[in-house]
Amino acid sequence: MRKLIALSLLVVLAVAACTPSSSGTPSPSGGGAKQTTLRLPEAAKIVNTMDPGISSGGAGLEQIQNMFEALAYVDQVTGEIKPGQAEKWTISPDGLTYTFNLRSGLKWSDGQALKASDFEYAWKRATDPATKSRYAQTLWPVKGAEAFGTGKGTADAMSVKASDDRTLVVTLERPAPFFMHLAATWTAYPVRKDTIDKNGDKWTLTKDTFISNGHYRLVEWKPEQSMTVEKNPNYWGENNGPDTIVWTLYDDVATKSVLAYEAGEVDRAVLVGADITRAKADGTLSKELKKFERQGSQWIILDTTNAPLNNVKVRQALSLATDAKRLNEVVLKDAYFNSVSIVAPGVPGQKKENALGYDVAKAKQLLSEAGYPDGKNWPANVKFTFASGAAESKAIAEAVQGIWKSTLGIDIVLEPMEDKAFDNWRTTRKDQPFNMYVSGWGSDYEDPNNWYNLLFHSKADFFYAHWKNSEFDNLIDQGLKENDVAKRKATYESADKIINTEAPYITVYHWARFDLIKPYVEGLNHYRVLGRIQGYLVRVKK
Amino acid sequence: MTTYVLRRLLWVLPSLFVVFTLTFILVHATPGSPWDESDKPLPAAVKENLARQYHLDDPLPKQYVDYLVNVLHGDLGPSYRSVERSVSEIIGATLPVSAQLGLASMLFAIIVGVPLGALAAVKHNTWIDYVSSLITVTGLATPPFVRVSLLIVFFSIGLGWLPTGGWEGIFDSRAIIPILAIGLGPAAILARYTRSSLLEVHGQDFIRTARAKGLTETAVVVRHAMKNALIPVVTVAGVTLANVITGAFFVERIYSVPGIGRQFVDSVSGRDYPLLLGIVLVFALLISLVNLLVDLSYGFLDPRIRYR
Repeated sequence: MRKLIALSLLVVLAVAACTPSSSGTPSPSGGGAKQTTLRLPEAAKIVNTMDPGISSGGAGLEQIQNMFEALAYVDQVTGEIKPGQAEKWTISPDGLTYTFNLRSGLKWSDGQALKASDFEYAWKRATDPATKSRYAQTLWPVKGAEAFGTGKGTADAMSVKASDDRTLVVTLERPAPFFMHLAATWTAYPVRKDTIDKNGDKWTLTKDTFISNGHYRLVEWKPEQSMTVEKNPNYWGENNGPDTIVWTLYDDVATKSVLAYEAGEVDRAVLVGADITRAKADGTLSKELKKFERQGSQWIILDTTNAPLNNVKVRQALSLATDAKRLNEVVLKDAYFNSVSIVAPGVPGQKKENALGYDVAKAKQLLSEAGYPDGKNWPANVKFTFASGAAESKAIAEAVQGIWKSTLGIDIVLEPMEDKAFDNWRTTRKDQPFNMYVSGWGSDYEDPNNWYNLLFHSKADFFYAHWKNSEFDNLIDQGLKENDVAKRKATYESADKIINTEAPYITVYHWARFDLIKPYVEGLNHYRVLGRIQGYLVRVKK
Repeated sequence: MTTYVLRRLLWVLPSLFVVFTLTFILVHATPGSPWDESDKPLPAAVKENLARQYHLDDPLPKQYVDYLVNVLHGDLGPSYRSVERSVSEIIGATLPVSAQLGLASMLFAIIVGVPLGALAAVKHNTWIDYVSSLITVTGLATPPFVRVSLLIVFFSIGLGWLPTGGWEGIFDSRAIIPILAIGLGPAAILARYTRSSLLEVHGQDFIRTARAKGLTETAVVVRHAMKNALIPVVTVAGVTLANVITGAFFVERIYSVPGIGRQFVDSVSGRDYPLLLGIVLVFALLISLVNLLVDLSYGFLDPRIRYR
């Protein structure tokens, strides 16, 4: 018997010893000059593709942005469009043809020359439905792209063409004053044909195959564990950022990054919920706490075709009675910015004067005019649907249930759903009735097209509010094509007035970001749009 | 004996088929799509294209047959959420990590649990027994994800001795917290079983005979009592082993260990059907094999058991 126990223990030991174990952390090479490393947290689950042509722009975007550069880029402080791989570009008077002139001597991270044809390849590849891009629609304004992307056209018919090694000519389907923003998006980053042809989907996995053209290049990616990048010596411009950036990947990035931050393992932590409150009260952490603006809105979305919310007065009453200041500051512990209007501040066309605001007396009067004085006759089963895993949506639903009950005397029913079931429910709202749910949107680029046309146009109806207003549609159709900046803004402002008055959405708050940042890290900033950390702007003084 | 093993092995195949079919039906009956929309919803045209490219718009019976044929050819398919790695590659990369962690935790459980239980039985109703009970009840009453969180708070934040997460192989300091967190539960179970089983054996005739022969108490316990007391313990250890290798889901998640349990949790919440099916098949196979090993080990421990 003793032998048997000893034997089984030995077997277990042997198996444990024989299984391979990787060793050594991906530590940046120290050498001569003082090497600096920036250690950042990232969400593991969503870093599931580093392919710029496929990425939907969730987590993973920060790494992609640090390693690639498009023809132009958005300045992460001022928001201006600046020349990137292209030194200049010209736009034809009709706004349809863009001619980009690439810088001379551009190189890929492996030293090979980067040509205009690399852009042509990348744009057509991202649009090709077989690429399975999660963000393909970005390039659809290019002539022939939407047809190609939806399987009705061909790559050859997509109007992006390298006329020589340093010139890229792009023709659009119709004028799109926001096109430079799209040309600066990750979907429009160049990618290298030879490595993709040779390695297929796996080209992003190793440093030898993941060839990029930005400030940094890949050293090592361990899926679900970490990613390390180093300065790209072949980048055309200067890079005074840290020599190495290491991202540690966590499943629950908010909780885990705070632990790792307090243990000194990372230089930045992502804060949400109770940790914000805790950090504010902590002597040390409160000094390292920073709140950043994020251009986004969180709404209660109303089905405008389903009674009783098909009545504009009811929607206005609910909106006027929603104490958004209290929601953010008390219920959500000031984790966001107080509601201003439906579209987030800073988007051209958004005007805070257009918002309905908070006015309980007026809300009661409107509700009474709509036939529900003090909540009398209010139907019994008006439902507020939310994903049970989203703690915040739940808090919002419970809070507004109480607020509307006490101010307007109406009852709503809470309907929680499992997260993916909720996604599914939301998708099927396209042609099915509902009452209300919580969702939000953040700018991909700071242009009214990214909000009014993409989300609110009756043909788009992105959140299925089923709201139709022909005057609104006409205004934003005009705005979309208008090349005159001032006129364009005024047109969208008129549309903004209509949507705020009609109240298909009730704004709960505008997005924000809370970080803990170690005192020796300078220049770490989140620009209000997308807001990923750009390593070259950061200085690590340690 | 050989016939018995072969017959048992043959039975694994229909079990796997049933597991596969049930899982397939269940995952497709659950609402939701694999595309990540936690941050922002995807445009409808993009979702339609993705569904078409991954054949998710095919009728379900066709998807079932296609997938089954691929599995029989050893192809577990693409993962919807990981563009770069196929299901086989993900399982190939993560299963060894979980297996190392599981075996190490099991080893820890045996080394701690069995002697602790034996000691408690021998020193029955003394303070040693009570302390051992306290330890085992605590081990049984706290789920692994609570233990791992407490260990992180204590060792990483409080004392600063160990990292807050990560994985650099089984011989790295990063392995200590997950091994403790996973191993404490099985250790408590083994200690309880060893104790009660040993107490029961202690009252039997052959133990009296052994004592009457004039053997020392140590010899009686180790050579005679333990051998017979271990049968239920081995049964429990076997079941626990399968659990420990495959079931460290939340410890892996919380401690950022790149194991298969973490993939399992993600594939369920992310509706990554091929990954989920692949992992379930691997788990079913593992559990079948461990059960067979447990059954076989009875014969070595108790000569009265015969295989037919």
